[in-house]
Amino acid sequence: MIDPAVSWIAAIAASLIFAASAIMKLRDLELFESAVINYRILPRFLAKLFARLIPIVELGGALALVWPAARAAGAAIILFLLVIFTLGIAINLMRGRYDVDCGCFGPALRQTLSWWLVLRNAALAALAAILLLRPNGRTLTMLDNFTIVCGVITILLIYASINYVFANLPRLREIGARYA
Amino acid sequence: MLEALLISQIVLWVLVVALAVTVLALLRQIGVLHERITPMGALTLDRGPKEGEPAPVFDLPDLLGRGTVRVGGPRDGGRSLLVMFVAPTCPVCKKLLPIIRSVARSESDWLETVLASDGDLEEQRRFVKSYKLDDFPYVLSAELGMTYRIGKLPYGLLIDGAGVIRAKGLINTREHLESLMQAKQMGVASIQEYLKLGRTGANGGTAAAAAEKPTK
Repeated sequence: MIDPAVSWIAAIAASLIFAASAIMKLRDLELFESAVINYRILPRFLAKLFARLIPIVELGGALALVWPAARAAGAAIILFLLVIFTLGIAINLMRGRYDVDCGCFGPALRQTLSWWLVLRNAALAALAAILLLRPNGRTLTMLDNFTIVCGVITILLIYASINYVFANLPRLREIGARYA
Repeated sequence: MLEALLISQIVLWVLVVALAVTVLALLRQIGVLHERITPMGALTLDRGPKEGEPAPVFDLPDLLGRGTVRVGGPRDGGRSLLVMFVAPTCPVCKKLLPIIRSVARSESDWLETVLASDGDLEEQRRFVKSYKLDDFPYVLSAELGMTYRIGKLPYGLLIDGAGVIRAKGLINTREHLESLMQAKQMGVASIQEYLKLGRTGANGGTAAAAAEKPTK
């Protein structure tokens, strides 16, 4: 059991994050497809199928989160996807392939793999895990609605900030290499 | 008491959101700063043969068996040579191919373009076929990549008609590719060098101001 206000904050924030991620993948399927192939885990034809299926499943899971009856199912889908993504990243990191494109975003924010991404996915998984819990029946007041709106905005802003930090990290290292 | 808590709660939330906005804006500015200081092909690592040095000469066989391709050395007609390092495993390379094609076509009066790669022969043939790259000379050479210390792809290398390296760098976008051309026209290897020249020059202040709007 969990407080419904907390559940709603996590549901709306996770839904927006994953819907945005799915739409970015769908808008540039070709790039996502080559990113999946480049993870070198699935054979070529499976990777192509996977690249087409994943964004649709991701979008479906994201939409289910905001529908209370389907919330737990949506959370299970999102958690499953996070486990797959993180496994793919971890396998390549253990192979020592740090310069692989993560495929998380479009070409503008090129991110390479790092253990930080694994940590970020763990945080997202924690957010999704909250949604597996059934909300208790407390009725929401106006103040709750205010809390939900502000909470969602804050989570999204912090998530965007974290992604900027990740995108800037390798650039900072490059500058260090230039002037060292 | 309850009203005070309510007010404090609302004030705190407003402040938290404002702080989060500030943090995001700050990080965005850091990202823009990174772009400003490394615009030239995003990055020119100080490794391998340098700009202004003669390019090591390689005679490499074309992948599709259309004779040999010479990389480096003086060229007939004084045309420059753009060597684009790409690979079938590099997602951004595939996005860049149409851009390379259009630049190669529009600059063909002074520029020849060669694609260079390395790795499994069959995979390369499939890559050339599926992206219709047969209108470019295509060479495979691990040695070429090692000589220029190519770490990240796609990577561009511009050699002038006399066989001297004019510019090089990581190429992620059309802007990066065009900055490679511009670097040659301006006679500097990179924006970084351009800024350094301005700083160390006698008229440091004005040169730095001029760097804001470089003349073509």
